[in-house]
Amino acid sequence: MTQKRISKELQECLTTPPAGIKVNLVDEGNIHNWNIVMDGPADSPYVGGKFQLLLVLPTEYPFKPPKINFKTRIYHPNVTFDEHGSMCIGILKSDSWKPSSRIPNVLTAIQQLLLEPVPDDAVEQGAAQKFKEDRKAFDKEARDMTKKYAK
Amino acid sequence: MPPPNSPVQPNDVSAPALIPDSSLPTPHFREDDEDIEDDAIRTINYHPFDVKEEFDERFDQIKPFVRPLPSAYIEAPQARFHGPILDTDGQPSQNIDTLRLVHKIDFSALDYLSHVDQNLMCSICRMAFYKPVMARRCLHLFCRSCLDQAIKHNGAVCPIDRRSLELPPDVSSENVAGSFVKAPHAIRNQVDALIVQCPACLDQVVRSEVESHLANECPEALMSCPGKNNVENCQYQILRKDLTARCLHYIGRCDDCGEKVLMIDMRLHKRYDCKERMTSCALCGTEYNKFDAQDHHDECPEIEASCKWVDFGCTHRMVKRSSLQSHEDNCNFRFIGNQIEMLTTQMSHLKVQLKDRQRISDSRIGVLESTTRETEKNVRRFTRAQNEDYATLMGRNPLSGLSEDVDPVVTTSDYHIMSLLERQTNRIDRMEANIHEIEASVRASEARSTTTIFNEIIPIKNEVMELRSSQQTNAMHTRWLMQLRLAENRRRGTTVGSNAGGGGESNNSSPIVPHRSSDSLHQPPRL
Repeated sequence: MTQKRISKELQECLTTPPAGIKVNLVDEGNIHNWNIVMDGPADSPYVGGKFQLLLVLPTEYPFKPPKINFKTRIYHPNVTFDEHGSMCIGILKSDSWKPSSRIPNVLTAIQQLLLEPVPDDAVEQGAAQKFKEDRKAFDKEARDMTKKYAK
Repeated sequence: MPPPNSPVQPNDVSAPALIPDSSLPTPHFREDDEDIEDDAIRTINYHPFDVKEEFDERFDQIKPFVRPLPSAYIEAPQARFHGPILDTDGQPSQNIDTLRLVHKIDFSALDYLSHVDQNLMCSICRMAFYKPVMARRCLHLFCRSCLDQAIKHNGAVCPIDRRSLELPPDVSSENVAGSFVKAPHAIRNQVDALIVQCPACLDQVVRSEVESHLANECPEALMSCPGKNNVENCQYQILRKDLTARCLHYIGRCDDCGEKVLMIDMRLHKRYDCKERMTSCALCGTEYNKFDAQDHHDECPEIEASCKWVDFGCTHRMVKRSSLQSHEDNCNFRFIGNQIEMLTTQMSHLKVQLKDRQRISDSRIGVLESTTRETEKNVRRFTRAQNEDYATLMGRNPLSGLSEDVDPVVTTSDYHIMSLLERQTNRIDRMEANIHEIEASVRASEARSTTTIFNEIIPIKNEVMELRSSQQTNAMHTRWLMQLRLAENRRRGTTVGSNAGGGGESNNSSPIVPHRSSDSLHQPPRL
């Protein structure tokens, strides 16, 4: 069942992906690892950047949430600014994950997170601090980092 | 099962009968030939899951042709019964039903050919519901198996809204299983009626019938080998379309290359495997697969053939096919030939139609004839019954009534009965007339009473109106008098209030009372 559902969702994402998102498989033989390229949303400091994400679907999917990491570095309160790019987003926490959630929903939720960071639930404290205290400086920093890493 | 070093007898005895297809040559090798170890005489084209190990070992020397099971299978098809099936007389059963298998299909792995409505999809497996259940608390629907798995992973919460599935304590339920029920019939019927692709033959099948289709009809589905019912107790499975009268799971030798081949796989071997399968045509020298000999025979340019219009009178018979092409391009019959061909097909078509019509009309005529016969019989019976009636009525022999004159002789008793009947009808007529009269009078009295009621009501209404107007005038008078009185009181209050102070108010009212009556009496109305 897992395989069937994943391949169905993959088909959906390949044919009609959410706006600004491209999906392909890391390795053609393995439908559990997805490579995602997300354009920085238009009204955010990340505009113009292309962010690579790695989506790993566990064997228990859809009963366990998928794991998503930013492969491209991103300056964001809810994403660690390192090579792991771990992120903190409500929909993917295992105590709030619902088997009825689908990958396109998750991806649009991440786009939403880029538009509206949640500094109270931050994993990158410096960025969160800046976001709360000096929004302009934060935006500039984020733009610079986007230019530097996400081109 | 025979001991490993003794040849399997049934195959020797009836060997020629084993070959189902005439295109499959009789092997000139039998398994009792000395150079083949009995251990290697069989192999399989399917690996059932439940094959006993020692059975499997004996056939591992020749590689079997293994066709993978379609992925939708949960487990390999299994026989309902194991071991040979014997008829009541102890003979191996020839009944094909005993070879049927139980097919277990993963319904969430099927491909749906009909459009599946979003509302009929399980939110967990994203497929049409299979055996749907409904959570009693939040009324969400899931496949039974999906919900079971979700509960196993995440506990008893609804996979859609994450609320507990447990019912409130006032609803009695001992466990989680009590907190959901089977989905309504309407939904189950809808999903069961969806069209899916059969995982084996890729045909269209109604979803609820997939398993029975595989067990009973599908040509690509597995069945037990007919050897299952025999002494050899063959445990292998073959496709329904390959079903033969006897077990072909034994080794023969290919008569072209001499290789040891499983008889069941002989056709495949000849077509794809055999080293000698290619041959060159003695006439044209082209290489072709022996398996496709017929195809080559139809194409070989050196073989003699006739013009395709030969049936219509062309004289070009038995010439080489290579020269035939140029002839056919110029054949005198090529124009008329097409027409004739068309006409012949039309004719045969019409003949078929005519035959159909004929059949239908024949059957109709048959029906009509039989009904006519029936009616005739009925009429005859009826007339006889009538005659008998007359006869009994007249106290005569029933048979003599048939030969009597047609007009019945009416007796006095008949007259009596008829007069009685007439009297009764007259009476009924009279009663009906009476009823009509009564109805009319009732209607008239009703009308009368309504008019009298109206007449009486009108003066009452007028009086009420009068009373109302006089009451209004009275009210006006009273209001006018009240105003007068108030003005007077105020006047007096100012003169008395200066002397009596606070206590004067209670005193004020008492002297006024007599004034009121005198005022209204003495004051002339100003209207």
